[in-house]
Amino acid sequence: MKRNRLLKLMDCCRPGHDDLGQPEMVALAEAIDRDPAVHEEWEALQAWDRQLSEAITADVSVPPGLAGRLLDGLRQSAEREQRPSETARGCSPADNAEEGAARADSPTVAIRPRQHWRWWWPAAAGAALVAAAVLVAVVLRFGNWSDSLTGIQVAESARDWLHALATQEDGWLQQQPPTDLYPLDTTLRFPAVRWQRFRALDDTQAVAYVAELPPDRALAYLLVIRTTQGRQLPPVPPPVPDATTGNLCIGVWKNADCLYVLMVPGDRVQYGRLLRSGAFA
Amino acid sequence: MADQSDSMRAPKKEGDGPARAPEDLDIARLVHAHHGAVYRYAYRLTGSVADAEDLAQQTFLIAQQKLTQIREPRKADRWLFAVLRSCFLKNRRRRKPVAASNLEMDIADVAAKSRDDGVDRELLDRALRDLREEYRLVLVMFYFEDFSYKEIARQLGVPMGTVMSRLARAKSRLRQRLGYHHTAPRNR
Repeated sequence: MKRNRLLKLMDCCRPGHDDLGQPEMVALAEAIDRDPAVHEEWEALQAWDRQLSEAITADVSVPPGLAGRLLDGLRQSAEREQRPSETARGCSPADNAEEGAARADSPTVAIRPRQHWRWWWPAAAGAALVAAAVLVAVVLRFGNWSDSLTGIQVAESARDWLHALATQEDGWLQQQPPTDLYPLDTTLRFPAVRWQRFRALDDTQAVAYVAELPPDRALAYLLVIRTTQGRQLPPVPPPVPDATTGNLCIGVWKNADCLYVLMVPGDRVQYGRLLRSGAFA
Repeated sequence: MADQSDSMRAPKKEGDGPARAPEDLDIARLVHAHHGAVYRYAYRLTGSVADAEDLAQQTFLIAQQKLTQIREPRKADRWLFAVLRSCFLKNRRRRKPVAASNLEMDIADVAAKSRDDGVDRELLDRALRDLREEYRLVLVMFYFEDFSYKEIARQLGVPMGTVMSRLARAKSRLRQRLGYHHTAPRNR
């Protein structure tokens, strides 16, 4: 039997179970008995599996206060579910008997315009909503005049953010980087080793990553800000930095919903060299 | 907390019919007993703290509505995992796909720092997160729920051969990323 097939079967056997005794594992069991090398690999893989199983099941820290937050969420949900039924009871014909009786006594001509209005207002509201949606779409598509954020402006703010990051109490974290909400840009090919949240444009939540640049693992910063601003910024890191400050070069670009600020050590020449290196796609 | 327990007890149905939650089971107790395991499972599936917490909340919300489905409190964690998995799969259908390269981080340097200390937690997190979701799902079911590959196939409604392939590929990628090395036996 080929090694790949043996490995595939080994990978289906759980440590601590008699999976090897299953009929479909006969060939694997025979190979383990017959061949010391296969036996050795089986033992090693099972040991590895035990280790991995432990790490996957136990090695995740539960956020503090999680049970309380979950219970709060459940209580709010239960309250929300109760509220509509109470409202419905309040609006029931039995609760409004007097109003209902008054309406029944009034002349038919007085009721008709109200029914007419009932049909009209949803239609009018719908039309207004559609018009508003079209207007918003037009503004979003062509309304660049309201979004004048430039790379230089961002780069200048970035110096302040970096200063603030250095003094934040929480400090840099190494685990569980929030790359799902604040993804590293697709063009980047270097490791981010630490991260920290901070407040950026208009108090927007943002994340700063510390990256290690090839070839000598010099530290650089990548700031990721989720914002609708900066639509006219380039979609990839600019070939020339937007600003230089001391010994840092700063490049700003916008990809999808994220605005990226790359702060790398060195001068313009080193910045250009880095962009042409394998660190960028 | 007592108030919460009372207000969130499973809705009791009239009579002693089969659709009744066991007497000692209420949602608050369920949360206290299983929130850690549910969160860990959710974290392993999503790879994100925020998503894991959302998924855990979603799971317990469904549990609150369907508490009567739990026949054996001892196996409540299994039931919660199944609910969680179902939520995860539903969310996945709604979610916008993210390019794999967005999540890609070169881990060679980090690996070099801690290869000798067993399974490196950070590396494992990243390696799992970078796996395709269908691979990650079978892997988490295998390790976390201790399901056999046949049971995984049955739960997911996919052929056993598919589960075997996914398990093998997922494990192979993890081994590669986590620096497992063992002298391979010769092909025969």
